[in-house]
Amino acid sequence: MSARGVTEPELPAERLRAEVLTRARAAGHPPESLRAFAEAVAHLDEAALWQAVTLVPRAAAALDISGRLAAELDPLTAWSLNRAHADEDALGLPTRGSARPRILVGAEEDRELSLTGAKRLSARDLGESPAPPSGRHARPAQAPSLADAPTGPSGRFARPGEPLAAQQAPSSRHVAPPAARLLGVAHRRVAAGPAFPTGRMMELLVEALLEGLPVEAQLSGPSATGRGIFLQAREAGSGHALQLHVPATGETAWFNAQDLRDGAALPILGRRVCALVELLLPGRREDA
Amino acid sequence: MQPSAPFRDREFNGATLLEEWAELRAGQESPLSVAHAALEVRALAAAPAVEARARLSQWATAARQHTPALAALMLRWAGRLRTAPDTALLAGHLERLALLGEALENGRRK
Repeated sequence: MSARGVTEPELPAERLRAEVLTRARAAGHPPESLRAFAEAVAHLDEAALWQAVTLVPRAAAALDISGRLAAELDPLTAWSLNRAHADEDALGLPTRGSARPRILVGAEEDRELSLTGAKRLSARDLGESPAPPSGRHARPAQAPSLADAPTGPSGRFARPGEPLAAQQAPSSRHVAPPAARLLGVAHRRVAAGPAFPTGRMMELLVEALLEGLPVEAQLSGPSATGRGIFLQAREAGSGHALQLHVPATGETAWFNAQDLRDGAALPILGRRVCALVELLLPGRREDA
Repeated sequence: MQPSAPFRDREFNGATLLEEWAELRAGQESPLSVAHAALEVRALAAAPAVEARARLSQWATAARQHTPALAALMLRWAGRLRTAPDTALLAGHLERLALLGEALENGRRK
């Protein structure tokens, strides 16, 4: 075997490790987090490393659209989330997406708060019991809410005792943010597919908007994908006009709901967006 | 009874909402503070507009020290309350503002 042949088995792991660290650095993590991450993955072989930084389905299910995209782009975030889920599995904790705190590494906890400009919130502000002193992975005690409840293909929240068809429906739970929780609003992710055809997605979207709830969405077209926030719906002729804001570009536009239903190009994102991929659908909690 | 003009504006829950969130964000306000304010206003929805205006102004004046940007916004809207439906519409507006702020901040964070 040549010298090249001897070193080859190690190369892919090294290359992957370098790539993973480059991406984590590009994601803006502080040096101490990067160092801890580098040490943690230093002895993994290629397969184990790949697995460690690829978001497991269970972790992905607890995130919204943009969170999932971010975790897929940032290996350190994916690794943190996977590790948190592994910890829970080891402890035999039940899956509770809505109660999961964001996993932050070291100084990122402070960076997170300063970036958002949000004030530091107490557990009481969040409507939670204070977390036990076991560290950042501690899970706040929280009463079950509709954000935890599986949903059926009908597109509404399942009621207690109702047969659940969550396995068939491509919708899942979402971490309830504090303001939404305070206002009695729960979110669930609804993905386009056989259980939620475009028409049904549009109905749910308009329903939420008419109820006064902005809706986050993932939109796509032949050559572009973007995250948008539907702000409001108004009756227009026999249908509805919708107002959409795209945070990435700052665009805000009105268009006819029928155009979105028909897959027509919308006057936004360079007229390339034409289909709803996913909705982060808000709904009033019945217990609120 | 018809809501007064500012509450009937087509952009009341559109562009106005985005501008207001930009102001609040610049003032370091959190969506949770806005949600608390929305609940305060919701509790006044059944009160006559004059009373709601007075109580909101009072609330905003008291909140000025801790949440100046939000207090300024609340004072501005309190001054526009004229008819009975206005207060409920303002509560809905603030709820949307809190939810929008949360959606925008969550997106920025990721």
